[in-house]
Amino acid sequence: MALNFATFYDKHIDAVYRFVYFRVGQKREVAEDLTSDIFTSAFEAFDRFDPERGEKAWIMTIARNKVINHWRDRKDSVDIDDVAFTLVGEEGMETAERREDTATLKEAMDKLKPPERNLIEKKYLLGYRYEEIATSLGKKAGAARVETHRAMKKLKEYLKGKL
Amino acid sequence: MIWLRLKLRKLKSESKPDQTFTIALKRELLSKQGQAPVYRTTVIFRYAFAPIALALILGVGTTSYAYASPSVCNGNILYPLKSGVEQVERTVFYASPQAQVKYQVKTLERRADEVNYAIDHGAPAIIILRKVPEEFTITKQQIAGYRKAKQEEVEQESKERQEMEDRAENVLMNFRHKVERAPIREDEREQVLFLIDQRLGQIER
Repeated sequence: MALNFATFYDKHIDAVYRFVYFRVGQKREVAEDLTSDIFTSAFEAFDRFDPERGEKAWIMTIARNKVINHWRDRKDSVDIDDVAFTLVGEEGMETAERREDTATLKEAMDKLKPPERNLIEKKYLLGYRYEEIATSLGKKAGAARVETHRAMKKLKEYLKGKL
Repeated sequence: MIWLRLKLRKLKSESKPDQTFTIALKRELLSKQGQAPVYRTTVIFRYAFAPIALALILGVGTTSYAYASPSVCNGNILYPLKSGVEQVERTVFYASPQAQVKYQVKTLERRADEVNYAIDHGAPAIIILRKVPEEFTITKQQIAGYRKAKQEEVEQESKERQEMEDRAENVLMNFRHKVERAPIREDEREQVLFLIDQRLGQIER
């Protein structure tokens, strides 16, 4: 096994967790269960993993499928790209001000079109590099950057005077 | 745009997985694989060197007895010797702020061993009994100070980096918008936009 699973795990655990977290209503317990499931599947298939496919693309495909299955099991038909940020979280550990700030940001994110929201999510929440975003979109890095920048401008407009 | 990125960063940090969860999951998965933790050679040397050097400093006999024995506690004739060795150990081997905190936790454990020993062997004086809670307070303060310093360091570094990146990016992005509307030939516009997009790719992060 050329690539060490421990290294692979350390590199992707945060992004995978966040990806799931924003798609299950920000419920930590559900996100942890699904993340465990995702990495267990990845662990079992790790010997067959072809590094040329790209680590992030591979683990995110597994994550995506697990989230889709999660909603399917609940008999909820949702578009996985639409579900992000639309469900209000239930964690109650923040102060009222922080919660309000975050809620406003999430609401504004929700107003964006799913592809725009995905760009911002990938870049600023999941830690993708523009090159990786571009690969996932089949575009050039420059184009991904420009589109992300435009989406950010739009988000900024939505938030004007609110934060 | 900086404030927006900071808000997103806050959201990112709020959605970070719990460390207990990530560590437990990793341990569970690796135990299936039977993968033992990997220690780097440099780490082994560092940890091997410390006890050797310490042994040389301590020598044998009284000094090492005073240092190692929990029976030597505050009030004992050898206690100043023990404190002196600990001071040397702290200064020589635990110089960094992080190591200082580690040493403080170790000190707390040593003081607790001494007091437990004293309780097991008679009724210790209040000055000895008070040692553990006092040392605990010092430990908590050191940990809090270290955490705060670290957070400030990270925040400052991240803020500066972000500002520099934003400045550089904004120059190019504004130029791009300008070119998009500039009264120039279409083929030239495409050429320049292509060059800009190439550069934007180069300042990838």
